[in-house]
Amino acid sequence: MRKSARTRIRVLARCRRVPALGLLACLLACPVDLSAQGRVVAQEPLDIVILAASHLNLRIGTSGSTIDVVSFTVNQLPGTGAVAGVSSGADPVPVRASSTPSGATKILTANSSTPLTSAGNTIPFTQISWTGAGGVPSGTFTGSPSQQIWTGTQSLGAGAAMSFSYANTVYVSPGTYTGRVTYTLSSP
Amino acid sequence: MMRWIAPILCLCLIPFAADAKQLEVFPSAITLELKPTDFDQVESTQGFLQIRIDTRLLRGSRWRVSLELVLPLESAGRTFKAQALSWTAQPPFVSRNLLPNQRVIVGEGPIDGRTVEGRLVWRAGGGIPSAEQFRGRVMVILEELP
Repeated sequence: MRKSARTRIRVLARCRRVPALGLLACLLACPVDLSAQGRVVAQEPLDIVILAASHLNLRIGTSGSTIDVVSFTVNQLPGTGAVAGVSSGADPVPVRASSTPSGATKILTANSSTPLTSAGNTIPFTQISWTGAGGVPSGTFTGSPSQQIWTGTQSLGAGAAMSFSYANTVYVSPGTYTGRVTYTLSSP
Repeated sequence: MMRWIAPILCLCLIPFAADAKQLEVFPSAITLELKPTDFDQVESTQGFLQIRIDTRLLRGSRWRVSLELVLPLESAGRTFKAQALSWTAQPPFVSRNLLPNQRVIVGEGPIDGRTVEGRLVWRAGGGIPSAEQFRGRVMVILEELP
């Protein structure tokens, strides 16, 4: 009992010293230039709201408004093998798809319903395939307006790309055939 | 007669005195929208804050305006970095960014009876991983310096 009483006294004695030490520490910590200390005379609240909108980003090929052209130079007979395409931009063609929120389900579709044409002659897009990389699956255009190319919750980033090839299995009239595939990224 | 004039005059002046404010801030809320412009870039809309100080109503030699984040910008337990919120301004106000748990000086000048007005143009930076609405509160503080 005595021991505990002594301890209590000691603790009290220590506590007494604390304010004095605290004041000393405060005085030492205080800046020398007291003119910098101001007196608050008015306060006004300002509420801030930061909005981050839902967003989908898609890029096939070169960034910006440039539309890349993939060319197939066919100088071999049909049925003798596929012809690899060469892009006017990066080759293979890079694919980037992302969203805010980042984990949202994303669906990449392609519209290849309008065939390639040359002076009234056509080649269906079903003659064109691609080999995917970096998460993009490989496939062949179906000629439909909304063919699903890829779906996922992750993003398609660095390494995601497509290498195109022309099947060259049918005889077509000579000429330069042009067509356009439009890709769309959507989120349900 | 003179004994009555002074109190009546005082009563008439009280409403005007009550209307006068040392510090006026407009608007009381700003909204900034973050939009991704490309895959790695985010663009913020601007928010404008008007500050007006009537130094006739102040004592001392200098005034100082500071900003303090009193309610962190939060959304569902997530916090938007205070440092990512910045503003640009013309003298006597300065361009800076907010800091957490710290009063940031926005401007300082002499108390010379003039009215000081300035505009802070706010922007938010950084990226937000999800579509959210962060809300917080900043206190605009006016101080008199001796």
